[in-house]
Amino acid sequence: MMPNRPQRAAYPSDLSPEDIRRLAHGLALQIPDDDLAVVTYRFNALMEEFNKLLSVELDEADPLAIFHDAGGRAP
Amino acid sequence: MSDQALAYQPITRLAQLIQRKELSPVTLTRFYLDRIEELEPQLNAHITIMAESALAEAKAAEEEIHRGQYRGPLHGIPMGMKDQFWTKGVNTTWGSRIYRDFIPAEDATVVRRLREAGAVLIAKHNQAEFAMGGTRVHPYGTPRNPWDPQRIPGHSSSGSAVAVAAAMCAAALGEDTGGSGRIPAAACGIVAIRPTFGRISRHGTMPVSWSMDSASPMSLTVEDCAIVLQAVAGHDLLDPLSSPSLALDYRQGLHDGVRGMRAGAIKELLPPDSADQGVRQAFQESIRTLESLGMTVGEVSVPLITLAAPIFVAICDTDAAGVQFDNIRLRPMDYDSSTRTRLMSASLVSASIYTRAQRARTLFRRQMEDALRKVDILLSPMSGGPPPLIEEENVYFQSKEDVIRRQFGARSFTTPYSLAAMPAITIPCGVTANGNMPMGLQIGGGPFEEATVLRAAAAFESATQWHTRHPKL
Repeated sequence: MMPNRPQRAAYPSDLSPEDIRRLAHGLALQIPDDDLAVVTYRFNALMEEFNKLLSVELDEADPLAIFHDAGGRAP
Repeated sequence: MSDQALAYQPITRLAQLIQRKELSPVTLTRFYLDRIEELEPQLNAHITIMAESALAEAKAAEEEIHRGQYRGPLHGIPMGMKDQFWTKGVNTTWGSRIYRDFIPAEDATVVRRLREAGAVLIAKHNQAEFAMGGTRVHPYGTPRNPWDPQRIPGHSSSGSAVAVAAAMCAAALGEDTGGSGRIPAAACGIVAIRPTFGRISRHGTMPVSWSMDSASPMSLTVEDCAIVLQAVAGHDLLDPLSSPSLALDYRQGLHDGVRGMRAGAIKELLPPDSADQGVRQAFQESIRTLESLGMTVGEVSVPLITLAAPIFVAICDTDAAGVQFDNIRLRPMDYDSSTRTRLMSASLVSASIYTRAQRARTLFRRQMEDALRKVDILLSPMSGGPPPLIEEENVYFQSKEDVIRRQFGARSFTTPYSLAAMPAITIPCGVTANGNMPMGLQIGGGPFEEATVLRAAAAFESATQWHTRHPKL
């Protein structure tokens, strides 16, 4: 339970190429100049689509990657 | 049997002939090798052709069978596999130039199991780079759809689907993380199953997403698919996420029919008015066919399925970026530009997004479980239209909206089963509006219900002729 759930804010989905370059720089990732626009489109697209989940109540759901009936236990 | 007659014979028929010693595995292997030599220049389905070892394996199989040591329906059957599975002593490139010289010291568990079943391993198939899909420049040549060489054969087990659809092997083992087995199978007019996560060992399968990767049997018929699944399924101590439950006999009850079975067409994936008319028509006719066989078909709703694609991308691409992070930082120019930009973008995804995506996945799985409390199987088309032209696919993204349109929409059909860790199969069910490209019907089921989806698919196949259409080559 999360008694005082903070208000959800949308992830920015209009980052500039320079924003993306700086984010990558923090990870020692050098984005080639020719790729920068496409990386920016891809990242912003994911954020925009992902923000559609903001209206879905997710806090009660555990972040499971493996479900109980797969791996480790017979069905 | 003449060479011409050997093409497109299902494993069930070939196995009968081999068991009766009416067909030599060596003859059959030579037949497929000749097909590869003839068709490979136009289709680019292969990375490594193992002619010498395949003929030796075929000879050994023949001698065993003549000694009365017949192992079962894959004994002496030539198969290929995606170049994502380790093969001892044979290059395993992962579709990448970075792994051009990688030679595994052991077989993947699935490869070992195919060998134990007596299969003749004939070739390693071409694929999208790192099994990521969307490759623009394939390091080993662009795979082409045998129904229309100007179109892609689907990603990422492209070569495996092409090889089966063009009769360059009897069956193949692809891999399916978010649809990479089912999508090319549908685009090439063949059958492929993605089993429940954990049903098949991942040991020796080069990874994309650790919680969704699964081998995917690909074949001409549903029963052949069941045979290959039977051979590779089951617990493996080398994969900690492999299910300890016993694999069933997937051929038992396969032809029992669907009378009394309940199906739900997923409301959110019904073809809209804007969809290819062939897709709409084929899906509606598929439902009528299943109803005529005694199945009850209604509609079910899985509301979050409309967001399956972004949930999937946030998890899968981030997992893949984790796998590739050192190489993408240190030698980025050794990647295809599409793979590189996809991995670089995913490298920037924050922990909060990844965690939120996993929460959404849990909720999504509950919705799929709820739907499957009302019905036995779920139905949907495999896509909204024909596979794109290669030249269209290779156009760089022009905007954020272009990425959303091209990358997210297409993933809505197949990623749901990957996220929910549930099995799904695609079978040919019609042609697109241009009258040429095959399309697939997707049948999904609950966890470890492979036998149920196979039974429904077998019933549909027995009532239709779509699986008997083959490309003119």
